[in-house]
Amino acid sequence: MPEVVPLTPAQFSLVYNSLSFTIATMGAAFVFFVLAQNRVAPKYRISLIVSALVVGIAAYHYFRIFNSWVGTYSLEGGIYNQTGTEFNDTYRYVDWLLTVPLLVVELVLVLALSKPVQRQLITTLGSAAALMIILGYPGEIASDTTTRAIFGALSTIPFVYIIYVLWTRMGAVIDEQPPRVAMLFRNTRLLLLATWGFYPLVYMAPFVGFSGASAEVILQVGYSIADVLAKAGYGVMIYAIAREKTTADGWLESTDNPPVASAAA
Amino acid sequence: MRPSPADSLLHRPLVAAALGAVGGAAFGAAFGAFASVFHGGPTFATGVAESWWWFAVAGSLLALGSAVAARRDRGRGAPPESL
Repeated sequence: MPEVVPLTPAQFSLVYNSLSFTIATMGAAFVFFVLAQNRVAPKYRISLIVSALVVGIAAYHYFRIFNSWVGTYSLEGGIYNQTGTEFNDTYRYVDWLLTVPLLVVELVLVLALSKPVQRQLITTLGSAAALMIILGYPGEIASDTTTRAIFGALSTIPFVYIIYVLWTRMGAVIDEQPPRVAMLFRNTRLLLLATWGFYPLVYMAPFVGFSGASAEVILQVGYSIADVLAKAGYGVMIYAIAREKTTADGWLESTDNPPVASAAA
Repeated sequence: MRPSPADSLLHRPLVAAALGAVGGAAFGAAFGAFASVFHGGPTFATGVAESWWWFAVAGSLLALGSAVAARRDRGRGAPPESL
């Protein structure tokens, strides 16, 4: 549970607006992924459905976190003081436990690999992602840094394993994809690494004495930016891959160009 | 009496939306219950009450979008393809 400290109006508003922006982004991304199903071939739609699920779940959590933020502070004498209600961003972990495995699942699904390969990658990567969050949680709620360090180290093991699989086993699979799909996949993989890399930094913050009002603001804004990129931005990259593969498969827009299947019928 | 083309057009997406709402509500209720397990999370009842409606709406929209996309495929003359 984060420490509650007095905030200046600018600090309060920065977090308020970041959370508000994230709700709007996740909501808009949800609508986009629902509507974008029309624009990709049926076999890639499942990845867009998973993307919509991820941002829908995230929008719900940000809605709850936003309400908690508003309820935690009140303006008195030009400073935002604690109301007595504790700020609760527990929903972040609930969110990650569900959405992080789904993020790796959508990356595998959009490639439409053979069923045995797909099943094995989803099982191993999804399990590793869930394990990473589960192992990190005891450290997150621990009051001492030793417990935090132990569970932080343990949760790093599945994180490294995911990175290893994405860069080795899936790297080989990607080489068999069309060049533009391969390029998009590599960029998506880098986006995943960059955004996921932010969370361990925040996890380690107590070890370097990072605390107080500024720290709380930086963490909340940083988490919001990371989540927007890791969920909505990542989903758009998945959509781009699905579109590219749809085009490569010859499944075109029926409004402008009849699809191959229709033309053949 | 045979349904009009308009009825036929609306029928399946609406059924899908209704089923999506039911599925979403069940997911949301389970989700709220799950959130109550976490340290500092809501109580079981609050978690369920807070989240079921959100996911009912989301499930409905998601199923509607999928049904419309599938209907559009049939309009294109494309062979049905399972997800």
